[in-house]
Amino acid sequence: MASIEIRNLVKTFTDARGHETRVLDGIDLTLHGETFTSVVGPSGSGKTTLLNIVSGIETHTSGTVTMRSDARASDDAKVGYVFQDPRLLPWRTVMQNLGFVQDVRTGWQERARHYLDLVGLGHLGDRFPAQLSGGQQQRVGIARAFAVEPDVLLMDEPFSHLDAMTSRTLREHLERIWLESRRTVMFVTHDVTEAVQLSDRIVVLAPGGRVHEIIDVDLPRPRRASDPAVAVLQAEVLARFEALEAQAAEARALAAVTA
Amino acid sequence: MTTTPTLVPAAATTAPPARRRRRSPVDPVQLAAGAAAIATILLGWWAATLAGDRVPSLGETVDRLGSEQALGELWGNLAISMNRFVLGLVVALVVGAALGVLMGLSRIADHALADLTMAGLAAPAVIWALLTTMWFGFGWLTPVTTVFLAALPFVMVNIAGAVRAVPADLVLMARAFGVSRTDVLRHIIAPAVAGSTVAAVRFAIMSAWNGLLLAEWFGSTSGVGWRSRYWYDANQLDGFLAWVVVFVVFLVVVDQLVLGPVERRVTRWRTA
Repeated sequence: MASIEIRNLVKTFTDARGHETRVLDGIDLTLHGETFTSVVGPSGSGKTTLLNIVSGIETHTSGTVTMRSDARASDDAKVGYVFQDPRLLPWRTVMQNLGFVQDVRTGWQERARHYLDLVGLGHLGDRFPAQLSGGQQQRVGIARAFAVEPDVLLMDEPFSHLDAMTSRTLREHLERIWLESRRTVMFVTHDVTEAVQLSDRIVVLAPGGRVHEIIDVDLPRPRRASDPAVAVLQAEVLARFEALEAQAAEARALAAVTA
Repeated sequence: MTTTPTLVPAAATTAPPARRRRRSPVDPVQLAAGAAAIATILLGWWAATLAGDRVPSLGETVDRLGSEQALGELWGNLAISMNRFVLGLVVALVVGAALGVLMGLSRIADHALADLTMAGLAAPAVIWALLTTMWFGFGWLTPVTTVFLAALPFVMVNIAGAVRAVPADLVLMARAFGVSRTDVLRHIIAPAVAGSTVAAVRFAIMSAWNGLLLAEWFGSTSGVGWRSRYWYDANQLDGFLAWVVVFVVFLVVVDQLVLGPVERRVTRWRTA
C-alpha cells in the first residue's frame, strides 16, 4: 500500500525579464493507497506540473511531496509513469523497452510478458517501436509502467493523442488492469468524462494552481461510459467544470483589460 | 477461476505472429551499383589510355604494383602509413569526442570553439601538411599531427550535433522511472549519438587520409605519400598511378567493408 502526501506545494516560474508566474499555489493533497485519483482542470491550472513534481522530473519552489510505501523505506516508493506520448526508445525492441526501466536484472522478463499480454501485444515483443501504430506504442507505454510493479502510478493524459474508439477501449481495459493490480494512481486529464469513468476521486484544480474542489466518485466498478449513473455524474461534473472554465476566461479577460 | 483480462479485442490477440523477413547480408541492388561504379571507372581509364601516351594502362599499373611488392616497398610503406594514420585518427577521435560532447552540452564551450572548428573545416588538408612540415620537419610527428588536425574538426562538429539532438523527453522518461545515469548513458545517449559518430568517423577518415598523404609527400621519407612522390619526381606515371590505386582502394575497402556494416548495424532500428 502506498500514499502520496502533498503539503503547501508552490511552484513559480521566472521569465527572462524576472517576472514571476505562480503555477501551483499551496496545493494540499493526500492520495491514499489503492485509490484511483484524477486531477482535472482548465489549461494552465498546473496539472502536468503537479505530476512532474510528484515524479521528480521537476523541482518545486516550496512545500513538500512525500511518497510512502509499506513495502519500502520512506520516500522510496517505486514510480511508474505513462506519458502523453509513448516515449519509447526507438532503437530498442518492445521487450527491451520494458527491460530498460526495470531496477532488477533478472526475472523481469516474465512480468514484462505478462503485462504485454494484458495489453494484447505479447506477440510483438521483438518489434521496434517504429513498426507499431500509435495506439500500440501507447499500450507498450502502459505495459512498461505496470511492469515495474510500481507503488505509485502516474499518468499524464495518456489517451489524449489517440482516436476516440481506441482511447475508449483502452480506458475500459485500463480500469480492468488497475482492478487487478490496485496501485495508487494519479491520473491527469482534461477530459472530465474520462475522469468520472476511471476515478475514485476527482481533484479539480482552478487556474492559478489551487485545489478548487475534490469530488468523490462512489460508483460500482467496472464502469462503462454508457452506464446511466456514470452519464449522470459526468454531466454534473462537466457542468461544474464548465462554470469554472467560464470564471477562468472572465478572469483572463479582466486581467487583459487592466494590464 | 479467474481469467486474465486483455486490453485489446480478441481478434488482435489471436492474430498469427507476423512473419519476419530475413534480410540477405548482401543487398543485390547495392552490389550491382558497386559493380557498375567499378566498371565505369575502368572504362574511363581505358578510354583515357586511348587519348594519348600520358595515361598508363591498367596492365602497366598492376605490373608496377607487382614490382613494388617485389622490392619490398608496397607492404612496408603501407604499414608505415597505416601506423601513422591509426595513431593520429585515434587521438583525433578521443579528443574530438570529448570536445564535441562539451560543445553539445555547454553553450559557452560551443561559442568558444565554434569559429575555430569552422576554420578547421574550411582549411584544406594541404595547409596542415605544409604547416606541420615546417613545425616538425621530416619525421613521424609531421604526418601524425596532420592526420590529427585534418580529422579533429569533423569529429567535433558531428559529435556536438549528435549530443544536441539527444532526445530530452527520453532522458526525462528515464528519470521518472529512476533509471541510473549509467543506463541513461548506455541506452539513450550512446545509441542516439551512434549514427552521427559513424558519420563523424567516415568524414574524419576521408580528411585524415588526405592529410596523411600530403604530409608524407612534403615532410617524410617513407609511407604511401612519400612513395607516390618518388614516382612523381621520377616522372613515372605508372608508378605514381599504382600508388593512387592503393590509397583509393584502401578508402573504399574501409568504407564499404568496415564503416558501412557498422553504420547499418547501429541504425538498423530506423529501417527495421
